[in-house]
Amino acid sequence: MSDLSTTRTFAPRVIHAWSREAIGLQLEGTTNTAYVAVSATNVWPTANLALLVPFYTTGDLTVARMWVNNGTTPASSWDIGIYTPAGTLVVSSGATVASGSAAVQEFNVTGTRLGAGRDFYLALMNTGNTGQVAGAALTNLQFSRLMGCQQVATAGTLVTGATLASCTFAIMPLFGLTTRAT
Amino acid sequence: MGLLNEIAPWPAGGPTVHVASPESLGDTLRGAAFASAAWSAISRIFLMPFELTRPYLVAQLFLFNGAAVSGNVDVGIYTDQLQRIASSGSTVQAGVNVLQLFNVTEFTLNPGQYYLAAVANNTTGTSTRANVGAARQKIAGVLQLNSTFPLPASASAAVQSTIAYLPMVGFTKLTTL
Repeated sequence: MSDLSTTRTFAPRVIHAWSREAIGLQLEGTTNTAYVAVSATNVWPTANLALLVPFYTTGDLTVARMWVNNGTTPASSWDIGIYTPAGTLVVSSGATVASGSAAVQEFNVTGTRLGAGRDFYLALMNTGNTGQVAGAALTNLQFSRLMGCQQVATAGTLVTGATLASCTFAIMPLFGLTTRAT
Repeated sequence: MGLLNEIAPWPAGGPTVHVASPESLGDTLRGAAFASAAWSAISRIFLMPFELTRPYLVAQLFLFNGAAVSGNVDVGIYTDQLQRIASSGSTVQAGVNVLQLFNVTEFTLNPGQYYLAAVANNTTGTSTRANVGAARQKIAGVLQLNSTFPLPASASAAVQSTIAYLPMVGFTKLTTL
């Protein structure tokens, strides 16, 4: 095969659940709108249940920080991280108190390189079931399954070797990673 | 043989590939309304194009059933030349408003262009489908083949679709979906 087939692209500085490298286009295709509406009142459905959203790296990148867009009334603690498709935890913030009404809350994580052309999951977990997160309300929880999302039961922090299970989330939060340190 | 440092361009084939994913008709279906509705005609096959930029190990096929199920369905994958690669075979439609999964012997699709296919043998059972209009279907290259059940080895007689909707059908590399 010719070298002409080799494709190199850069990774974006920010990848989040709604990015095209994740499930952004599918989200638009299944929420019946070309511009997905953001609600700030999505309640985390189950305490200690982690949502995993697939994404693809189009280029090498180093994760510097992660973030979640809190809802109007954040509560309990977040743990946010990245998993491999096999359920290995690559990096995470550890449990951190949710704070900042309707604000983007950032989390320092150990700088972690993700190689190009790989599959990963963004993971987000809340220790309670009353806190609110900004995101989309799905018209049918089957859509989260359809988009390849998974979930993981935890005991309060993202587990190192996770058993991925069929997704039951009917919300799609805004959360992700950034390569920027500030 | 691929180069060791070759990086598949996006979309490279995520955990799931389906009618509304970027590997298939995601661009075309933006803003389309998904709803439960009966199959439009007995034994009408829909063929939806998709493409892959890296090898993909298919573990399961699926169809998003609607509010009523009936009779049998068949879902599968065809080559760009409309030759069947794999299919579920005629299977009882089961499970209301859920993804019905079809286990198949795992097989690999190499980078290239293919078609997703689905057919039902009755018009009582429903699927969750996107209403996109016949014009957009033509633009997207959707095909149809009437009066054929189950999915045949060759669908080369398929013609440009004139139907205004698309059933939600796809496949996954995951064993748990």
